[in-house]
Amino acid sequence: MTSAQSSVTSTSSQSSATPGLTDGQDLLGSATGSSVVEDAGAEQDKAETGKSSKNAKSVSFIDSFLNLLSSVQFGVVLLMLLIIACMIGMLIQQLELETFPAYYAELTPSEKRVYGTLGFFDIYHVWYFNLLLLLLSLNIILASIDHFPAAWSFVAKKKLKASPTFAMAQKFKEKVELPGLDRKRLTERTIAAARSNGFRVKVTEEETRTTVFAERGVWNRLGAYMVHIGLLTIFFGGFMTSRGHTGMMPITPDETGDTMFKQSFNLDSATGQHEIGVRRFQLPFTIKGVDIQQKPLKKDGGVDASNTLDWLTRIQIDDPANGKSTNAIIHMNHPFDYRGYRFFQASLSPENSAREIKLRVTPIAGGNAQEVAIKRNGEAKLADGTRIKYVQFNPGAQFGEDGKIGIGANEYVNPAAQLSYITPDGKQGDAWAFNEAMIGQISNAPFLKQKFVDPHPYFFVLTDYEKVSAAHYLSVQYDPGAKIVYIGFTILCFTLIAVFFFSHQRLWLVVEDGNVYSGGNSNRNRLGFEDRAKKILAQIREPKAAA
Amino acid sequence: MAQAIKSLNASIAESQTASERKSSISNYFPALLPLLGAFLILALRIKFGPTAVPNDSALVILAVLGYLIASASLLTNLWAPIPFLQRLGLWTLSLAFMFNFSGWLVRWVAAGDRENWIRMTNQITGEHHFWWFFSYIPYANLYDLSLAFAFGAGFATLLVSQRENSRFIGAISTPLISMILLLAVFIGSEMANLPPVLDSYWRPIHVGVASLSYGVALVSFAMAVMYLIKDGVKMETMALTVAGFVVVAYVFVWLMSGLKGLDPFTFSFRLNPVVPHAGGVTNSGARLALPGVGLWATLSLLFLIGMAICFALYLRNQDASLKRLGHWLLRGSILTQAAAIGLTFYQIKAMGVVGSLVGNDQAHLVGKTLLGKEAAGKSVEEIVSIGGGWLAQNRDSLILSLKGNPVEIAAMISLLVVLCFIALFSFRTEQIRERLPALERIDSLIYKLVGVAFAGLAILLVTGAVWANESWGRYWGWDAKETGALVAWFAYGGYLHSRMTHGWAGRRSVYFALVGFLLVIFTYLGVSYILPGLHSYAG
Repeated sequence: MTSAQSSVTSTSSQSSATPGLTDGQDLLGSATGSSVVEDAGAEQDKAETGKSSKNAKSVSFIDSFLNLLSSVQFGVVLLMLLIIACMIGMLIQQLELETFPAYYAELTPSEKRVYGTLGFFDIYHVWYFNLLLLLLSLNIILASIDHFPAAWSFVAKKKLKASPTFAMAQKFKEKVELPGLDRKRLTERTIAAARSNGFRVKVTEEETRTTVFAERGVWNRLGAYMVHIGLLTIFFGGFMTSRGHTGMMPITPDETGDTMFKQSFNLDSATGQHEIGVRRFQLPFTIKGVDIQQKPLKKDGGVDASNTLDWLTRIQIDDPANGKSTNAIIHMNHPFDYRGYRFFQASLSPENSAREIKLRVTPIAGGNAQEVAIKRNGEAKLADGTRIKYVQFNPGAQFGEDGKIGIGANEYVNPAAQLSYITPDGKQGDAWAFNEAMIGQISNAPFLKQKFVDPHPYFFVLTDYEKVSAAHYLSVQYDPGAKIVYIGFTILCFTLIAVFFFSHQRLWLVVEDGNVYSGGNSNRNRLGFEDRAKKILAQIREPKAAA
Repeated sequence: MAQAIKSLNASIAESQTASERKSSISNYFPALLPLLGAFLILALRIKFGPTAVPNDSALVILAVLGYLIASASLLTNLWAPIPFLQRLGLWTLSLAFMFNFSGWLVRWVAAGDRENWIRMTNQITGEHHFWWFFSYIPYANLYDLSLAFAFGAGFATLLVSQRENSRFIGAISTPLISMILLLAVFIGSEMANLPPVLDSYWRPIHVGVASLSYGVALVSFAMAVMYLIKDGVKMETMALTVAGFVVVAYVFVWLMSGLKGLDPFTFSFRLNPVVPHAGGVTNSGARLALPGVGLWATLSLLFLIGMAICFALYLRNQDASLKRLGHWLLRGSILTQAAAIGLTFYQIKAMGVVGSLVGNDQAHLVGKTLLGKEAAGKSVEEIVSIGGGWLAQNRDSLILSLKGNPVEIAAMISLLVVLCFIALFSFRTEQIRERLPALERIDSLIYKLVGVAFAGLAILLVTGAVWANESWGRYWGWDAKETGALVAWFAYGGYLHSRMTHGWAGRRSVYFALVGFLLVIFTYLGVSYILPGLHSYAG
C-alpha cells in the first residue's frame, strides 16, 4: 500500500494545472496522469525493497494485482462482462418466471445440460455473477481511492498564480488589450466582470502582474465520488435485502393466520427435474381478515383487472408482544407498515364471491316483503325478530339431479346465496336465495319448489350483490435493506444531476502591462464555459455595455 | 492610440456578434414556440371539446409528415447547404414536434373523458383531487410511449439545434423519429384499460423520465454516427457492420418470436392473422404466407449478404471493382426491400378475409397463443383442441393487419431506411465529412448528451425501483425490462469511463454510445414484444 500512498502525494501536486483536458476526461480527476505517476511509485517501491528479492516479488505481485483491480480499464471490462451476463439472463428464461416450465420443457436435452451446468437458468444468483458484482464494488472503491487525491487537489490546492504564457496555453484563450488602463483599474474591472458572471474570485498580486483566478462549481470535481458512494450504498442495501424475507399471505374475511408462503424453484441438474416447492415463514403476530372489497370501473362489468379501479383489504393485526390490536386498510399502491413488515395488495383468489348481498324476504304466511342487506359472514334481523345469516355465496349455481345445489361456474352467471335463519319462536333452517332467473326455473318445476321454497317460512330472492373475490393475497416483505437502498438512490440521483448538469470552470485572468491574458478550462460543457468566458471579456472591454 | 481604439472596437463588435449568435433567446424559438402551440391546442380541446381540434391519430399523422419533410430538407442540406433548406427543415421539425406533443396531450384529455375522470375521486373517501388527473397521463401502452419517445427526441434535437453549427444533427435524428412514430401508427391508437397496479403517481414520473432520456439517447446515437463518419470510417465498413447486425438480429428474432417474418427454409414471408374488434386486434398466433413477398425479401437478403461479402473483400484488398459491385448490390437490396414492403402492404389490403387459408395444422400455435402462460400445464392434445375450436369459431373474421405485426413491418422499414442512409452517405462522403464540425466538437456534444441520458436512465431505474417497491414489495427483481434498462445504463457508464481510459478515448468510446442506444431500443421494443415479464405487451 505504500505505493498507493506515494502516488497520492505525487499526483496531487501534478494534476491541478493539467491544461487542455477535453470534456469529462477528468471524470475522476485526471486518470491517465495519475496512472503514469502510479507506475513510477511502484518502481520506486521496488527499488526500496530490492534488498530482499523474496519480499520484492510478493509486493510486486500484490501491487500489480491492486493495480489491475483499481484500474478504470478493468472497471470497463467488468461492465462489459456484466452486460453479457445480463443479456444471457434476459434471453434465457429464468427459473422464477411463470412461463419457465413450458419453456424448459421445449429445450433439447443438450441445451438443458449446457445451460444448467453454466447456471444460465438462474444467472443472477449464480456464484460468478455475485463475484462480478463484488469485483465491481472493489474496483469502484480502489479506483476512487486512487483518483480522489487528484480531484481533491482541485479544491485544496488551487493554482492561484499564473503567467501570461500559462494562460495562453489553455484550451480557451484570449488576450484583451486595454493599454489606456492602469493595472489597478484593469484588475477591478476584471474582478467585477468575473463576479457578475457567477464566478468566485481570488486575486494574487505579484511584482509585475496580478492573477485573477475565477472559478465556479469546484465541488463538481467531487461529484463522481459521490455517485460511486451512492452506487456502493445501493449494492450494500441489496446485500442486506437478501437477508430479509418475503412471502404471500391469503386474507379471507373472519379468518386468522400468521404464516406467509413463498414459492421456491429448484432445478435438479442431475435429473433435469424442475420443482416448485413452498417455503413457510411465521410472523411474530397474527392477522385477521376483516373485509375485502373490489372497486369496479363499471358496476355491471367483470371482475378482471381491466374493469377494476382498486382492491381493498382491511385487516386486524393482533400482536402478542404488546397485546395491542391494530386495524389497517391495504390497497393497490398503498402498502401498510407494521414493525418492519410491509404489507402490499398483491393478487386475489380466482374464486368469486360477494361482499354483500341484498335480499327481498317475503313471509309465506302473508305480509309485506322486506329488503335487507347482509355483509359477508354477517347477520340481519327482520321486523318480526327473525335473524338471517349469510353463510356462503355461489356465483354460478346449478340445480343438480339429486335436487342439490352445485357450482356450475365460477363466473357470475346464476348467483345464489346460502342462508341460515332462526325465527323468534325457535324454528331454524338453511335456505337459498336465488336470483330472478333461477326463481323462474323453480316456478316451472314443482319438485324444486317443494325442495327449496316450501319448507321455509319465508321466500328469499337475491336482488343484488357486490362482487368480490373469495380471498385477497397480501405480499409481505421484511426488508432490512430497503431503507439503505433508498438512501443510495437519493445520493445517486442528486449527485448524477449535479455532475452532468453543472461543471467546474476555471479562468485565469492575468493582468500585465495593460493587457488581460485570459485562459481557462472546464471539465464539462466547454461551449457553455466559453460563452461565459467571452461574456466576461466583453465586460472587461466595455463595462457599461454589459451592464 | 487610434489603432488601439480600432482594435478595441473590432473586438467589441466581434464579441457582440459572438454573444448574439451564441446565447440569443431567439435561437430557442423553434423549441419553445411549438410548446406554446401544443398547449394552445390542448386548451382548445379542453374548452370546446373533441370536435374543436383534430384527434390524436390525425395529429400524429401530421407529425409524421412534418418529421419526414424535415428529414428530407435537413438531409439535402448536408450536401447542398442552402440556408432556406436548413430553415425549412428546422421549422417543419418544430411544427412536427408541436403536432407530436399536442397529439399526446389531446390523448390525455380523451383518456380522461373516456372514463368520466372517475380516477380523480378517492375510492375510499369519495373526495375529489384535482392533481389526480395525472392518472390519465398517456403512458399506458406502447403507442403512448412511442409518442412520448418521439417528442422527447424531437425536443432534444430542437434544443441541440439552438447552436447553428449543431444543426446537422437533425439530418439523422429526424428520420429516426419518423420511424418511431411510424411504428406507433402501425401499433394503432386504441386506448388501453389501465390495470390498477399501474395507477400510481410514480407512473408519470417513471415513464416521463423514460421518454425524455430515451429521446436524448436517440440524439446521442445520431451524433455518434456522425462522429464515425467524420472520423473517416468508410461507409463500406458501416454497411458491413449493418449487414452483420441484420443477419444476427434476424436469426435471433426469428428464433425467439416463433418463426414470423421471412422463413429461410421455404422462402415465404409469413405474418400473424388477427381478429379485429372494437378495442384493437386479437392475435391468432397462426402463420400465413403472403404470396410474392417472400421472394422479394429473400432477394433483398441475398443482395445484402452479397454486398457484405464484396465490401469485406474490398476492405481487405482495396479492390475498387469489388467496391463498385458492392454498391450495386446495395442498391439492389434497397429496391427489392422496397418491393417487398410495397407488396406486403398491397397483400394485406388485397387478401381480405384469410380464414380459409389458415389450416387446422396451425391449431397448436393458435392454442399456445390463446393460453399464454396457462399452456404450461396442458398436453399437446388439449392445446390443439382449444386452438382448433377457436379457429373454427373465428375463421370468418381472420384478416391480416398492420396492427397485428407492428415489429416485423417496422423492422422491414427500418432496414430499408438504414440501407438508404448508407447509400445516401456513400454519395460524396468526403463532402459531408468536410461539412461536419470538428471531431472534438462532435465528441463534446456526444459526451454532453450521453451525460444527460446516463443521469436520466439512472433516475429511470431508481423511480422504477421505488415504484416497484411501493407496489409489489420488491425494488429489484431482474425482470427483463429492468435488466434491459440496467444494461443500457452500464453501456453508457462504459462510455463515460472509457473516455478517461488511456487509448480508449475517441472512436472506441463512441462504440459504447452506439451500443448503449441499441440496448435502449432492445429494452424498449425487444423486451416488450419478445421476452416475457411484467412489462411485456406480448400476447
